[in-house]
Amino acid sequence: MEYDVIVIGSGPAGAHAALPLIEAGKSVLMIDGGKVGPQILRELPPLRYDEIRRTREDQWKWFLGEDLSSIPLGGLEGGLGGGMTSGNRKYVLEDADQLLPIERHNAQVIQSLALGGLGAAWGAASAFFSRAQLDFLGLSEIDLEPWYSRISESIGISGPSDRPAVQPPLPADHHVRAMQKRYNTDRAWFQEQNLKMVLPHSAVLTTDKGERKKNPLRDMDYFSDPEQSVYRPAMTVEHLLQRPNFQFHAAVVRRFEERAGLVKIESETMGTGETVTHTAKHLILAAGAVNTARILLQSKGIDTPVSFVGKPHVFTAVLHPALLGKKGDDDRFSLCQALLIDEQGEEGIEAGSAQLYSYRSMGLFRIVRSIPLPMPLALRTAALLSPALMVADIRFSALPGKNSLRMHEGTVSISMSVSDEEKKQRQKTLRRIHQGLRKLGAFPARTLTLPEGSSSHYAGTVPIEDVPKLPLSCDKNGQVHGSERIFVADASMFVKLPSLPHTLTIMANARRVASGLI
Amino acid sequence: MTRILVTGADGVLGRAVVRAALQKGVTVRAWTHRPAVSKTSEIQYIDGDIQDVVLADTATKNVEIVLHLAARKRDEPDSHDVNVDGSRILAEAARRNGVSSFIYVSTQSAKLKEQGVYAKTKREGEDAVRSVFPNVTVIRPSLLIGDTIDGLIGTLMSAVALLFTPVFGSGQAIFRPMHIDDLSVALITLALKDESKGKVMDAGGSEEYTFIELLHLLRGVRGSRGKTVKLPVWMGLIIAKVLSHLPHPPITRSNVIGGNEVVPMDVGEFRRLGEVQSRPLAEALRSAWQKTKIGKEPALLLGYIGAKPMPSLVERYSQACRLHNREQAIDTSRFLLPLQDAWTKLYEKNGVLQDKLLIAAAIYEADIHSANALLPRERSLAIVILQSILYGLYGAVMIIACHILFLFPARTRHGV
Repeated sequence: MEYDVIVIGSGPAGAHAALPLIEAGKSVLMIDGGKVGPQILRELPPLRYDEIRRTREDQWKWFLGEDLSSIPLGGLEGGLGGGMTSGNRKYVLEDADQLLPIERHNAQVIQSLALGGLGAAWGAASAFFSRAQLDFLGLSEIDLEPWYSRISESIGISGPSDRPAVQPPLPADHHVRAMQKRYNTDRAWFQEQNLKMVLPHSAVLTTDKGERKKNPLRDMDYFSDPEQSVYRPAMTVEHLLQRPNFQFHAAVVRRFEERAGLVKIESETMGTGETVTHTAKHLILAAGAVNTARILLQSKGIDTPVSFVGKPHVFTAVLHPALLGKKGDDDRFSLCQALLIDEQGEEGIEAGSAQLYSYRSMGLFRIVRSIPLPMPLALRTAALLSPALMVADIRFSALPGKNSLRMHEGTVSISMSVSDEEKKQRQKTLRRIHQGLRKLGAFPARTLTLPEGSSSHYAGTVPIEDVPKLPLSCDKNGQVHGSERIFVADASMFVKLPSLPHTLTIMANARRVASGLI
Repeated sequence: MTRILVTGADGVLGRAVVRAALQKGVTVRAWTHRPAVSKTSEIQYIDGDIQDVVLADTATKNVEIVLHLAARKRDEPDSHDVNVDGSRILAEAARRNGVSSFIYVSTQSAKLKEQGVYAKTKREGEDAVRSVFPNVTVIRPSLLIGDTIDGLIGTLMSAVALLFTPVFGSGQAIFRPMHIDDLSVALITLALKDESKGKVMDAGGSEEYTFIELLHLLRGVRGSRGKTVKLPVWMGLIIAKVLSHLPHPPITRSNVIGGNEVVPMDVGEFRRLGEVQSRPLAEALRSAWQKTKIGKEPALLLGYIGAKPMPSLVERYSQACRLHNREQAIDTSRFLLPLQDAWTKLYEKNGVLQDKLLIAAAIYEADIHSANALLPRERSLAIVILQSILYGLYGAVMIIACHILFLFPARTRHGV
């Protein structure tokens, strides 16, 4: 059997690379680990967070995980994957390091064998990038607008109506309403400071869309996928599986070979470890920046280091005193509520941005460790303060810097380091964002500096280059330099990363790259 | 026909004796004080007070041997009624119903000159039974050790955790501690022998310890570095008197006196007739201590966090500890825990105790009973501020207290 295209990876890039090919009638094989999440993620009593807390004896299954594995003993971030794999999402990282050997040097990089990739633990924050941001990514002169529209239509994006084809925004909660008031009063100050507060776009439904329902506003998004309202790439793959021209092979790809106008792909079947070879006219690599590079380096026998970009971030616990002693809205959601953007960056893009989350439903047990009181008091103090608590996930725009990724004896080795200058730049951005938060009436209490790579957003291993100089690079259409039939469609091709969420752009760009093969 | 009636079958020794009997294929009738929670069809059950004449009659019908264990162990107001009158009533019923042998399990302290209430009533119980049932076999066991640590050994175990363990008097009293299972097997073995009838035997293990040596042994098991201090007997008697007003006094008059008088023991006959094979004491103590710590820990930690330690929570807590490889038991107590928490929060943030407390907190939070206490609700700002200040103050007191206490090097401070 010879396929038109083989797509490696089922995450945001893989799913949306395969979709237009299937729609155009091409025969497509997708190869990916394909681990499926436990049923409990989709089984949730139709109750709000507070109602579940008050009435369900079995609530621990969602909050601590069915196997109790989500008690965060490894500190606030809980080690690799941290908070994003809370509840029952640990499967997202399961077995990945065993089957995809990795060495980390100051780099808390994660990889996934889940169906839908790291998108299975995605917070759904989305952004439509400006011209400057696309240029920053390396997509200069490329009009992504039509692709954004198609993705938005296909997966359902809600948010401010300044973009076509979006659904109405999720309702801003009491925290954000209070901040918005102050923002509007002090708008002149914010303009002068080059700081901007906006409501985010999210890959979350606010109106029903086929089998997927609008977000029920039960504040359980963190622990489950209620009504499938939050988009997961696995949904697209499940949809594709019903098409006769789509095949899926649960396997880990080891290498490929380009010969006689065809690509042969060698993979190891999940579970059995059996080696299977598939053949196709074209190969699209969409396994994520780490594993796309792994496959390319392994296949091409390159052992020199390639560049690697990881979006840096920190968590700041923010106290919003106006909300102390307030119960807050009953109907709400747990995802990103608002963005505070420091627009004073290089190349006309933002230097950093804070995604603001209201704390309530994330579990007090996650923060008691950082309150310097004996445990019962820490728990009650956390309960007292939690209505006024927000978490700011502050991300910085990222350059390749001194990071590198190389392949050595079958193991990927990633090393990350930050120059003093970059550190200074981040500090400055952090100060400015903290200043903006204070102006909004929210006080940064404690900032947790997180290891490089822990944001799980990676790029830059196969960057776009007009004239190939690097050992590994591709052109604007994703075609890997020096290869006829090999394309990359994921964030590997982005040269740098703006601080704002780029997952939507991965999907739009993957769709664009794959459409070039039709 | 049932061969053995065991009274006090719901006690620690009683349960072990019933187990031993069943293992030897001897049919058992078990007299429990409270109705047994889980019953098996192999055993006939009787429940109620031991002084109940009618029950005594029913219980001793069609029985060959009576093994009388039921007793009040602490010095309680009805100790005489249970230990003396109850024994007589049972012996009378046994004689009436033609029971062939009657084993009365007494205590080593029955031989003391200066007797507390327990020793005295057990001694009188021996006589009361003998007056009705002259061929009674009397067994006087020394200190007993179970699968977990409780009773007198439990009290001593807490005492050796202190910087100074008080010993009232000379501390030269002799003990031959023995594992409850070893005693149980021996009791069944000798109960089935005609040769045992009418004999009075000391029962104990193969190793002999003075009271002070025993404390030293326990200290080793616990890993504490305290010291023994000798105090005059009268001081102990005063302390026991004061403590006797508590619902469960940690030491009684009997304990004070019992730890003091030297009474020789001869366990030869008992060990021969009971065919006893004692296990090494230190090892038995160590495993019992581990089990005790692990057994009590969930309730202790959950209770400290604020949870009612219901079986479901305890089970979840233990499961989480297993999953996260935090099975090592914590050496702590209700009084020590807040101090150890405050100390480790500052100096051993990622130690076992803080990890276990986090597990307890997570288990507590993910449960309906914590919803009211922990969910956000409308409160006035003044109350929020006042409560925060109070929590802060209480925390500060604990932090100061743990520094004062743990800066003494004598105690293991990390709770492991």
